Amino acid sequence: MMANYRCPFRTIVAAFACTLMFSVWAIAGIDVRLPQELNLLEQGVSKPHFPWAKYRVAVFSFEDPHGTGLGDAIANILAKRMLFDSTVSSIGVVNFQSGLSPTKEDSSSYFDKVEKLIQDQGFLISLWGRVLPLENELSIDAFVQLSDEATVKRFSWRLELPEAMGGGALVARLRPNRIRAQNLRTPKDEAVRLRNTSRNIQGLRRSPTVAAPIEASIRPDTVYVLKERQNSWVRVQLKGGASGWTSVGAQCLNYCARLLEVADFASGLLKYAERGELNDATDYLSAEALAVEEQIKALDSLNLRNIEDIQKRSLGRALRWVGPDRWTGPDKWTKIDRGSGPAPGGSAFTNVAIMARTAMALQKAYKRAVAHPLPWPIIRKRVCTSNFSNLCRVLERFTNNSTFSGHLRTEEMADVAINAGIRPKEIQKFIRGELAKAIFNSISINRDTVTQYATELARASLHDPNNIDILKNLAVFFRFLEDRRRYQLAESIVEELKRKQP
Amino acid sequence: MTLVPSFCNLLKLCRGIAGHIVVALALFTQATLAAADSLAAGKILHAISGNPVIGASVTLQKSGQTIGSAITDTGGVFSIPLNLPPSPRHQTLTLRAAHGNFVPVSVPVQTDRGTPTETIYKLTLLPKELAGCLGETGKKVVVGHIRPPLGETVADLPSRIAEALQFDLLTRLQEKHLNSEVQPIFEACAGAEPKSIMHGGQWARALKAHAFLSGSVNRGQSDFDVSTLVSDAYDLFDGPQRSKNHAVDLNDPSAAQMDPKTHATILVAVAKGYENARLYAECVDTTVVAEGILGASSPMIIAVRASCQAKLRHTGLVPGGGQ
Repeated sequence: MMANYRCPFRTIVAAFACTLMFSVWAIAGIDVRLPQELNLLEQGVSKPHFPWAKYRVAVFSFEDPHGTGLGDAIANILAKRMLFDSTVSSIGVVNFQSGLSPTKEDSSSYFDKVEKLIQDQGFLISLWGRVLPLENELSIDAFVQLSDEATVKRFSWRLELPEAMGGGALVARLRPNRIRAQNLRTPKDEAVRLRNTSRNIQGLRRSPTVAAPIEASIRPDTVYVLKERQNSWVRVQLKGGASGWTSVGAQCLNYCARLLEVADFASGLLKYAERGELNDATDYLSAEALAVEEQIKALDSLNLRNIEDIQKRSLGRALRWVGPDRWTGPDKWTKIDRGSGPAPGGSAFTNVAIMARTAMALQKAYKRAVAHPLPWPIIRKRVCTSNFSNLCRVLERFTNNSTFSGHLRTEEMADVAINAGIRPKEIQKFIRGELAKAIFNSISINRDTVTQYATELARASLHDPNNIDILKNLAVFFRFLEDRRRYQLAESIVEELKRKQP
Repeated sequence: MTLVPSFCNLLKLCRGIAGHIVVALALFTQATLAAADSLAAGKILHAISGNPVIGASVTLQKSGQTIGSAITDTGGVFSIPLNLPPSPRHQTLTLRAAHGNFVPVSVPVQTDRGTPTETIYKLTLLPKELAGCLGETGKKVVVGHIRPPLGETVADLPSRIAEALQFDLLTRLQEKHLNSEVQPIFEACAGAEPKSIMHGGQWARALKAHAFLSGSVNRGQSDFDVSTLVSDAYDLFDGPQRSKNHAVDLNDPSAAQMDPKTHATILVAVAKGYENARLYAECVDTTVVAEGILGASSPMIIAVRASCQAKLRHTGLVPGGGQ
């Protein structure tokens, strides 16, 4: 008997401890010295950092070919910002410090090393870049790179097509996924301030204020976790016990604050991956970052119900980057220079525009189909499953009436069902669910319109030949158009590109 | 009128028959000779100047064994007699040229029934002092000598330019996810010093590079003016493409930063290299990157892109765009 006894108190304590442990480990970081990490990798030792984290982020020391001493400082500031101000539930940030420049022993380039570590560790998002002293100022280029896995799983969209068009879906993945997020110019003397800020952020203070004394410091190769937040301050605990308060926002001001926009942009992508919420691009980001933000928003709006909404939020946003009305010069809201050349992401925006037009055409066809009475035999065949036997029996009885025209309107169906005592919930489920699906699957877009879309996409693919999404969408269109030769060609190029991909 | 041919006409007929016999005999002899004896002949030239290389040793090897050799004459010409059996029909030999002052070079020689398929083999030799600048074929952009102002030195400028190009252009190309095996490499070769600015293309070809960048530094009013010249290996440009950075502090790293026009010019040459290597998609992508850097298109970008697009299988997807 005793063996089967479970103490409820112990269970509660265990659950509480579990929750506590998870919350402690849900946001953690580490500053890693790269030479050691690379040596391990050379020896074939692969040790992923924070394997428990839902989102694993790497920030690499910026390339610093002229020894400004800012490579580590910038990476540190960005890494801490991503970690301390992140709004996702579980994140691990690895800040790789120094050791990325080619050496006599290892002539691999900066990118080779960055790429090697990203591949080995499988980070979802990586930040890297370069700092270059110019005549009177510093030029800081920052990149945000989404892993291919993240792009496929979290930054891809589908627009389902009706069965009457052969089914399938049009697809889009976020492009580019290696984003030049910022080119920041700062006065040269800012270098000292940036280095000091980086050092100050490492200091853990007794209380959440810059005036409080520093009691401990974040050291390399020591895991630290977030314990508490207070406005822009966070209480950090080092593995081993010491803890204290630090803040990026309170200590990184002026030009440094502009730099933070890169980390916030990357955090915004994480937030989107988790909750589907996206930050607006901010003033000191690049045109590419703005394009990424607008592309995500455009793709998110594809499945809106209202045609005007799709036109404005999806097509409208895509056409800011392609076509005769491409927006150029400073952006209306952020003042980011949109440039005038090809849009970032190759022909991605043409693909978005075609998907938006298709979505609008489908909505139009659907609305037309719903407005007209539907033939009862089709409803009976496609919608009357065992789930709706009562409702269908009522409708069948109604259609046996000699005055029945053979067609039913949805409002009419609802009236008949309500009068027969069917529950409104069931009627709603029938009309909005199965019936809507059946109507959708019965609609189609005019073939000439699809031919026009396919032609536009085919031209776009000539301009961006490695864009696999465009080719997949072309295959879907050509299948509908029964253009067997072009369908097979598109499919065959897709296969060829898949083979080429690493 | 007579049915008997005149003597003169008979003589003409005999001559005609005899003529045909002679030609047939000659062809027969030649055909027999070709199976038994033939020549591997050609010319060895200086890779940069195009002058003949005298006294180069040329050997023909089969499976690592030397089967013939020759020394080039004053015209750089060589000929190696061959005596290969006609079977197997297709064989691959190696022609190797070497000279004390040059980097040795080898090319494959294909034979058909014992006879080389090419009538003349033209090999180029690169001076030994440039051996370090010779990388993998068709993959790089070389930054050559930057001529300093008289009596002054330009510290390490070619390396700095190569590094700057590497970052500026590779990050752009990597956005297109170009396969790392085909990404261009940017290398400094300070010893590559063309005698004339018009020789840049030759240097690019000799160093097996897409493009060759050289330049000069001149004293400006306050600081230095750095002029760069970009030549390509494919004769795309009429002459070297110039750009000039005024008032440059040579101790400042920004001296190594090239302007967008230089970047775009280099990328167009790289794109052409991709086209020659049948990497048409990479060619198109590179021209798009060049256009992005310039913020606009140029006739050269349009021409190279159109040429590559025409060879893409994707053209068959456009209605009316071919089969």
